[in-house]
Amino acid sequence: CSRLHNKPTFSQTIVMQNIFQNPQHTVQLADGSYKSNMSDEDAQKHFDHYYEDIFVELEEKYGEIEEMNVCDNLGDHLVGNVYVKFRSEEHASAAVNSLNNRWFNGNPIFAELSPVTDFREACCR
Amino acid sequence: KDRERPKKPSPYWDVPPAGYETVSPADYKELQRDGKVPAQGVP
Repeated sequence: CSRLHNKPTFSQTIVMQNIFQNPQHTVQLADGSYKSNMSDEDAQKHFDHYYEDIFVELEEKYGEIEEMNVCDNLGDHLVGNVYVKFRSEEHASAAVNSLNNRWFNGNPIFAELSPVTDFREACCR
Repeated sequence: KDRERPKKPSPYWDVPPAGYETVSPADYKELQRDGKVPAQGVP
């Protein structure tokens, strides 16, 4: 994002950057278009398993989650970001510290605190 | 009473890139910054 984002010292919300890859978007053709062999139904099942896998792991390891949102888009902006709002700031902070030392799907996790508190009001300023 | 489902191993969590099983995620990020490994997943 080209906007200037303030990184909070304390927050209930964390962001794991670029961690979700939509399987329907992963095959790019030579002309730049995307081809998908996965049906919408299979993509939804894949997403449901993915969402549950992340949610359960984070809640079991780090603490109660109030809300979790996954960005599914093709542009650079927020692409594949997963936002997780914990019940407490302490749990969010511990999660960021731990997650930055873990792997996910063959990649290191890039986690940081996010200033977003209300996802319906969230926009870059 | 609800029975707990046995938990399946995650296909995502704690899966390192092939060939870098002994490297820490922090060290791998350093390699990405230095351009020594692909920067896929780097925000």
